[in-house]
Amino acid sequence: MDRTCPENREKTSRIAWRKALAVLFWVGIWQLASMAVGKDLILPEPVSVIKALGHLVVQGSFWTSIVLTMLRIMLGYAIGVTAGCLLALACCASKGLDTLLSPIVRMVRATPVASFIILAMLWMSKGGVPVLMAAFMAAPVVWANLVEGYRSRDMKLSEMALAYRLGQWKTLRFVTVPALMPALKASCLTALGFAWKSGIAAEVLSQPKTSIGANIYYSKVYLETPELFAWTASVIVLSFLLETVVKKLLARQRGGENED
Amino acid sequence: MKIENLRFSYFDNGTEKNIFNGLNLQSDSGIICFMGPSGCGKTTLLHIIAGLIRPCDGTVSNFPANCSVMFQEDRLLPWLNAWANVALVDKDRRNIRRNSQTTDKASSVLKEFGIDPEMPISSMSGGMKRRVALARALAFESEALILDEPFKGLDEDLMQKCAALVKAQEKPVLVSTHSEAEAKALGAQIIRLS
Repeated sequence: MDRTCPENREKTSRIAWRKALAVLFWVGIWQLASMAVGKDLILPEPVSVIKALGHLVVQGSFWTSIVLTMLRIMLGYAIGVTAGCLLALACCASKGLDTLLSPIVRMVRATPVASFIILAMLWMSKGGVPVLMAAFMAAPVVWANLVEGYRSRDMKLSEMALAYRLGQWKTLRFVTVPALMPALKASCLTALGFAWKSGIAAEVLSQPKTSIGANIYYSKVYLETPELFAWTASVIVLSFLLETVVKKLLARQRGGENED
Repeated sequence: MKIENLRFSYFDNGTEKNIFNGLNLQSDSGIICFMGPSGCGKTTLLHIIAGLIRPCDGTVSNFPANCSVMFQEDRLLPWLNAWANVALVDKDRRNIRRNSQTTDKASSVLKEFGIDPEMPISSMSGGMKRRVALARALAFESEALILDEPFKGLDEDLMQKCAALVKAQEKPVLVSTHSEAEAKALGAQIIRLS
């Protein structure tokens, strides 16, 4: 049974229409700009890009590239998030470790991605570079957010835990971790964007055999601009999809435990 | 309870603020109510007795170290429901999984206070949160109770009911309050701080 009230349904469809109109508006601007430029090589028309995309999606190598790129970046992202959490835990547990690790993490945050990619290309195989880059970009974001969240947590709740002698495990499980969940969720979403973009950039430079990045690079080399746009469009769509999936997964993680 | 030569001060913007300068106190009463104007040090005194703050000097004796503290603020965990907030302080529980078929200590204490155990903290009124905080303090296995403005935000009927539940504990109780009516409802000895 549909329990949505008619007013809400109407509002939702109105919002969807507005969003669709906004997209159409920008596609129209793109069309006008490409007509003004008049060269598909510099700025292809939306139709040319859709055609190029249609040509790509029927090829098996397109899907293999997408799957492998996603696997590399998501592996790096998972490593980065885990490393960020562990680093944050270490820094929150010990001031000495915080002093020791902080300069390294800050240095990683300040170093340009391109420098890291080029260095990583010297250190490891082509396929490993995007994984490392995604991890390198995700970890400091998660670390910084969690440490900040820990420092600004409600100390009165920690005092309550102490007064009721909850012990380290219960305090961590039911007081500290749930208090950090908003910071963790926000940082996971931000880190996903960083991991995705740096992972693709790493693929463009290191060119692993089957990857979106390598295909973007070859499209540029062979001056196939519509294909370059088509690959970029795929990256954008995948990024939106991944963000939606991660958002849904994080939404299922409530702050704290309360099971029946 | 005996307090001898208690001194406590803290620095606020570089200036030292003296809260207690050689406080001496002795009482044999089961329930003691500290009364006095805001900022006179009622909460600080309760925290010192509870062992949450170390005094600069002086001693507190003849009061159980294992005491249950109800803070001036509710200090409930907003991500847990009423039952879980109370069950959390049960020393025998490592986890907080509820079997709704069985009646446990947390459920029965909450029922006495007229609170639905399943109710989320976020959807509670100020008075309801206060009662959950008090229920938590009573559910905690302790030898004494330290209650900081326990009936704040409760109407007369609820205050009387809650005071009766506190009295029924038969433990030493220290309370801070601004209300003579609350002290009377508890049948407490009143100690005025200035």
